[in-house]
Amino acid sequence: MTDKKKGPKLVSRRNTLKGIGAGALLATTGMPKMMGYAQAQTSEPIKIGFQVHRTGIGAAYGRWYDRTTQAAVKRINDMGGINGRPVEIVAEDDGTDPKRGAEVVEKFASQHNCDIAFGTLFSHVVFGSAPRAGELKLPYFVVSEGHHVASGKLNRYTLQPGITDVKSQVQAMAPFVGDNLGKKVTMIYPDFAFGHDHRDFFSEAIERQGGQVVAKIAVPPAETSFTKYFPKIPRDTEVVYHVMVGPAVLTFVKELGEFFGPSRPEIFGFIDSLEAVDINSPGLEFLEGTYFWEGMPRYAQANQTSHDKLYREAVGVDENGASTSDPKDVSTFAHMFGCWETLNIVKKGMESAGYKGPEDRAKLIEAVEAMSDMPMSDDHPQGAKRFNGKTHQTFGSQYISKVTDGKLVVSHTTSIEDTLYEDEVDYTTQPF
Amino acid sequence: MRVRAFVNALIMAWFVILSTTKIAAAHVSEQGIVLLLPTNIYIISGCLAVISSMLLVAFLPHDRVFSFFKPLRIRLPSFDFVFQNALLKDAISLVSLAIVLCLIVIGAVGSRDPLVNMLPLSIWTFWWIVIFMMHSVFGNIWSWINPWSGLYNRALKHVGLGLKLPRQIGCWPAIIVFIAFYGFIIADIAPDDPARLSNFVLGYLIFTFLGLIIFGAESWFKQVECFTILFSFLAQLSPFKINAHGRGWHIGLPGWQALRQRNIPFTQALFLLSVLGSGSFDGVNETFWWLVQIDINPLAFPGRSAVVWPSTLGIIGANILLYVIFAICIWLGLKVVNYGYSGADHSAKTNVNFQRIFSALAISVLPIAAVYHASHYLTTSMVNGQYLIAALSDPLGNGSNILGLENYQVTTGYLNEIASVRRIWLSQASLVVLGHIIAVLMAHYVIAKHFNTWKDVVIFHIPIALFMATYTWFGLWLLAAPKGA
Repeated sequence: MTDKKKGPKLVSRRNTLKGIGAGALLATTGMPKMMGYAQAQTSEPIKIGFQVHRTGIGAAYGRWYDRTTQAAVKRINDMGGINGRPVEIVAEDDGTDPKRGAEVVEKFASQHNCDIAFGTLFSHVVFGSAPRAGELKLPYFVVSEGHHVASGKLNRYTLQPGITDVKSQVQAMAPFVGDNLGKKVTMIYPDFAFGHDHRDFFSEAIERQGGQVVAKIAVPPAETSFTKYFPKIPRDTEVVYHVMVGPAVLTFVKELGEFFGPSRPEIFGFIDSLEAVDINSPGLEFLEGTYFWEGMPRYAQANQTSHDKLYREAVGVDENGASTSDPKDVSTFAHMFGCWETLNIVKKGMESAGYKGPEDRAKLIEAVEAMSDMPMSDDHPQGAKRFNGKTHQTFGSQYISKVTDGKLVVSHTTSIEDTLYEDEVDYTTQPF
Repeated sequence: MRVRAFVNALIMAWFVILSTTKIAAAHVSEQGIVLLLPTNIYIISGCLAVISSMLLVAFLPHDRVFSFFKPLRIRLPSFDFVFQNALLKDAISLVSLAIVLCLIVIGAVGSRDPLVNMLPLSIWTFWWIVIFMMHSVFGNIWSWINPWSGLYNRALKHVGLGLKLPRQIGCWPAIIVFIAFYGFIIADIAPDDPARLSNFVLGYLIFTFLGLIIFGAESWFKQVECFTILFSFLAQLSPFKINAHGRGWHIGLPGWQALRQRNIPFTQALFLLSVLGSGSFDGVNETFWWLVQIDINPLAFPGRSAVVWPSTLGIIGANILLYVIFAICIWLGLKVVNYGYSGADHSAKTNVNFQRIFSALAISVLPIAAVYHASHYLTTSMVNGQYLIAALSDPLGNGSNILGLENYQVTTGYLNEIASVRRIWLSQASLVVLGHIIAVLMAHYVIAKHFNTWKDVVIFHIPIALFMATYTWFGLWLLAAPKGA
């Protein structure tokens, strides 16, 4: 609050539409004869229904998804909008609830006349909302990283073009882990679907590398102390792979550190455990020298790209991945880029489809399905992407970072090929 | 060691209360850090503080206990032209009505984002947290700002139908409305949704106006309108009282005004317990413990829609459970006191009856309910307060920037820091402990007024004291417990 007058010019939801007039006008002046009509017809904003976790368990993510979305829309509008039309975000809180999610999707389609729905993170909300989006024939662009889209369980109207899915992320870790950290892996994971996905995807992938999961330690979800599980870690373990989540994560790491002391195996985890958590939090000293998957490197690296720089500035995030208005306010950096990239893909899709209104929704989906390679750019600051139009899922590089002097330093970037797997569905065969 | 930890806790708490001008919010990292704090030591210290206060008060002469709650009279202008000004009071109520109507419209047509729209921020952050707590400090603000009394006094009173609600039903309707309201907070799928909330606020506004027209203010405000009853009780915790006609001000220990109230009706006592019961459940329902009881994975909360029934039954059950536990404490106390007279002089048996002492003692849970509310909502108010400030800069959502907050970004940053999380936690815990100590003193006061001998007072107090000590533990545990919803 005290810093509100300092720092770079940040984006608030209120000014995302400002300045669009000039951009929209520029974009329409290419059609002098049509201008009067076109101006009248196209000055209507493109409405994007933003299904945001404002309340409920996803609220910490929702706050940053909102900031990123507002920043992406401001940039798009500053550049002239989409097809010369301004973009307007209609944010509805889904309460991180699947039933409410479906209601929100319905509101976007019937009440707010949105062109598309966008932005959902939590998988159970995607599962609850996607069927309704399909029934309403509303393109639904999720930013969830769940495997649900590519698994074929959803429908032709649901797409995930801006963020990779957990299956590809996990399997892409195996070559690095197997080659650099060790072949004998003990997995510690919470005993429910999220943990089981990691267990199954990674076990399969490490075996392909000639490695082996020597122990699978499933921790009951309600557990808040973990010392009794650590003696189960076999002595010949070379790597501990952990994916604990929830409030007890800091306790888990602290107790793991106390258990091993100075002589520990290599340790690899997913940053999901510590997303929006300061890596220098108490108890996390033990993480020094351990490795994490990151969707996008939280700390600006020595070889920072201009795209990463532009993206951070636009969202208001500093070189440590925290808010420029409060260095203690750590963002959900590994995930929120998905909102930025998805909106840029929506823009490209609408432009190549010549999107005019809801009657062109199917054309928009076809246009996105036709996309494939997207190079790293200001539109894709996380890295290059390869979209699979059949499975409606994007693929991209993953980052493995080592905690070095209290910062996450990238030590390996996977190729897109490392992340690919066989198609499990072809949505393009489904009718609209 | 424990005493020192507790003293440290109090010092830290005051430091936060006095020095914290920055704002914070709740998310998983805060919870994670709380789990790293030595909360067990803090909890034991807090409980010991409350138990010590019980022992201390047990050995004090009654007059001494009574003197705690004797207010000081201060010669200060009483400002009758403000505080006794019925016209001004009605005018403020009418302005409040106008603001509520504007908020209802904003809720219906403004931003769909509950952290941008003024309606949910005004209702849940400003009214339900800030205004609620201000009553315990400044007195009955609601009697001035409620949206009904102005219009009723100036117009509707004259068109009233003159019916009366039966006296026998007491404030049962208010209890039902209050628990239903809490059910809306806890069990509804989207109580923050601006459109949904707009309908609820409008519905309640009309419901109350209709009630006032049909049954009159006397009946409706005392038997049905739960917030009028709630806030007038909370206002009795205020240390201040401004007397009319130049009789100065009175200032005393919080609760002194509440203890002046004679003959609290039984249903009002149940209402007081409902405030505590509902407030306590609004906290329990987020804990790992509760989620495990209702077979929900605490690491993958499926959303409110999956727990509508457990939450609804939970809040009803929590209230009934509290009524029963409180009644058992009273019954047990009376039983033991009377047991002391069995075989002896039968005529000396206490003539204090169950219902009378139950009703009188219920007032002592009021400070506990107030501090629960404050501590439970502290972090929420810190983050949503920031959103409220941002929204005030653009109340109509038309892009105006009245407060010049264009670059304003809400932060939850210092919940990532152990020092600030500890300060916040200890502030909450200290509030809970202080509330219980006042409750213990108030309970002792009430008991001492009802029983003749020191022995009877102490014996009767034991079950209630155990109840309050347990509640202290429960309140502190609630602050420390891992949460998953």
